Amino acid sequence: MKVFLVGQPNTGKSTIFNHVAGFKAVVGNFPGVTVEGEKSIIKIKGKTIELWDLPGLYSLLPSDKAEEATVKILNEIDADIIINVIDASALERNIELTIELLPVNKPMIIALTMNDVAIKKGIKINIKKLEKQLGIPVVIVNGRTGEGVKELFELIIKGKAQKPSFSFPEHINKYIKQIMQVDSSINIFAAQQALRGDFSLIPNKYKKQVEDIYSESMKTMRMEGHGDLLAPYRHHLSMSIFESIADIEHVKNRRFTADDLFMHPLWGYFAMILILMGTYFVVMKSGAPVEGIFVSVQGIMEKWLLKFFNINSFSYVLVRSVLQGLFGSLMVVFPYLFPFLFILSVLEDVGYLPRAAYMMDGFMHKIGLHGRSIIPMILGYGCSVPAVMATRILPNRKERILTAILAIMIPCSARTTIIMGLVSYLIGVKAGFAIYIINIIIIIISAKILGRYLKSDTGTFVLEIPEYRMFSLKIVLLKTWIRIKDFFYLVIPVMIIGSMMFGIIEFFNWSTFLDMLFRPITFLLGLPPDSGTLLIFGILRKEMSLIMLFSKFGSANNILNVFGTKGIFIFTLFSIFYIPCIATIVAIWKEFGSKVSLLMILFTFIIALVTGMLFNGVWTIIY
Amino acid sequence: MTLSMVNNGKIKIINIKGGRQVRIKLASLGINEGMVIVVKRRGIMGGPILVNVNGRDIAIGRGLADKLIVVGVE
Repeated sequence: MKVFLVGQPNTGKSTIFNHVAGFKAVVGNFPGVTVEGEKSIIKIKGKTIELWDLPGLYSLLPSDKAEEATVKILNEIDADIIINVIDASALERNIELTIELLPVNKPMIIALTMNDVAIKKGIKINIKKLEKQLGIPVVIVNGRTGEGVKELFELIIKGKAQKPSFSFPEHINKYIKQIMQVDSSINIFAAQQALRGDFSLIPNKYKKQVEDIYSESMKTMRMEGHGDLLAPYRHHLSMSIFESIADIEHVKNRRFTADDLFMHPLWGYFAMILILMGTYFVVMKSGAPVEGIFVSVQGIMEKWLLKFFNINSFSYVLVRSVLQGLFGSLMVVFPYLFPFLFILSVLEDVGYLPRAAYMMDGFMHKIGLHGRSIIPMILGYGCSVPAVMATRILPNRKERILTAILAIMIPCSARTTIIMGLVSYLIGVKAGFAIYIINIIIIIISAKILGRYLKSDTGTFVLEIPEYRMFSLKIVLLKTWIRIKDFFYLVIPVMIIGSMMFGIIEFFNWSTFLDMLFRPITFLLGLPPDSGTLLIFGILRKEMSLIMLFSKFGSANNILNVFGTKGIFIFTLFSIFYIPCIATIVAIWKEFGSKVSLLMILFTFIIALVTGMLFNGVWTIIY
Repeated sequence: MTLSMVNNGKIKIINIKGGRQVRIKLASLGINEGMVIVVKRRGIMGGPILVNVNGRDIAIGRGLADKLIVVGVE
């Protein structure tokens, strides 16, 4: 049995999904968290359900890639049941989507979420009446506690989902019939879409005919230029349903809300800077001592191993590189990755991201983007892969490409560990912070350069600003775990293998050859000749260069001696920008194709080289 | 006047001067001609206008706000 979760953005579809499917989908408090359908096989009382979590959409006329995906799935894959997730606190608007879904003609059930928020707002919904009006069962579901989810799925198993009984009013039905008469392959849903100016479901050979009916209907109804013949009908129907089922009590507005601070034209920016700096310092301050502990434990273990192995033997090199790969990765996860991803998850769940988008919109326009682009970019601080995927919430391709290039230049958590573990740890906290500032400046310059070639119309920024929500510690921890999980299963083994490869290369002195190949680059950057090999490993995983660096030089002090302050600074700067890691390249390739990914690789490499050379030159002149 | 000229207060949308895409996008967010909405704040540096539509906050970019013809409501 195939069951689809369909609803407007940020209504809690993924939350319901997670309650039954185990924690699999990443949730957050901003419209557009889910950009790709997620499915899971679940078993309830011996019955197997294939549950699909589809990207949220405001209407069945999609306005971005993620919404398009949902319409496509709805049309191409035959669902047995549709769970329409409705946000009770925005009922009248949510019902418009429900009305659009009725002609899909599938058994439906409504999951009413955020009823508690609605009650707080003074909206009391009469569930019985709603069920009667729509002819579909309604279940109240609380996303935070999971209350009602069990009941919802029990009703589904019992076959309580209902095919809605509905009919278009005569003045619309007339045209629906006309379109359906064109050919028997055109169903009522395709006809509805056509009357709204979307002919994608009409077979090519009938397009012309259907388009004529559409223009004729628009002319008769005096709605030329409006585009959607059904808009007034849907709007009035949803309003009348809403008015008949909801009791609205006027609730006095609170005098001061959090938005008076976070969206204030002055304090809002202070708050944003404080949040960003606060995150940096918390991660740095909590991470550094833990990294120190790991460093000393590793040192002790290496010495202890010398009791069993000869320092110059091949077996010692192998054992030591396993140890270094393991510790190198652990040094990254616990001290820095964990607190960082935790804070990011909290910000997401509370609902700060759309506020940041609002605050940054004016500025983003100046660099040729719009406020929504800030969301993929903030996610980029976590990991470039979801950041690239999140560009789907942007309306057009050029803007998506531009945002993706900029987002992959943002130091992800892996690169954060290089900044923290190398620059902040060895040079100082301020130097680490300087890297972030330089990074932002270079991203702005890149946006200006690329904007000339990827100019797009950024005129239509609309973004819903959801209510703040208290985060649930359990969900935040689970989300942090999902994001860190890969690290345990994938990254640690890769690191250990990489570290062993590196150990072997070193043992047989092959690195001299590799370093020589890279000498032109390392020379231009003013880096020691033996850093070339490290940079190759960085493409595999960004934190690899850091881990290899430690395994090559043994201790932090040795690194400082060989590289010097300047070398460490430039090495880090170059590592941040040059060629994204393999996982990111794959994500870009899937999203935009081979040409764009090659261009991105080239562009980031040039940016990295120019930045590195510039700093090398300036630094040499000054000192 | 257009929505981008409003600082705050209640306004009524009398005309949406945009093509099909714009109308559909706005309608899907619950913004239609003839509606009364509340302008809550304006972003600086040409930032968006924050409006409240039926209890929901929606940020509307300046480019789009220019296309909404509105009148003040007491």
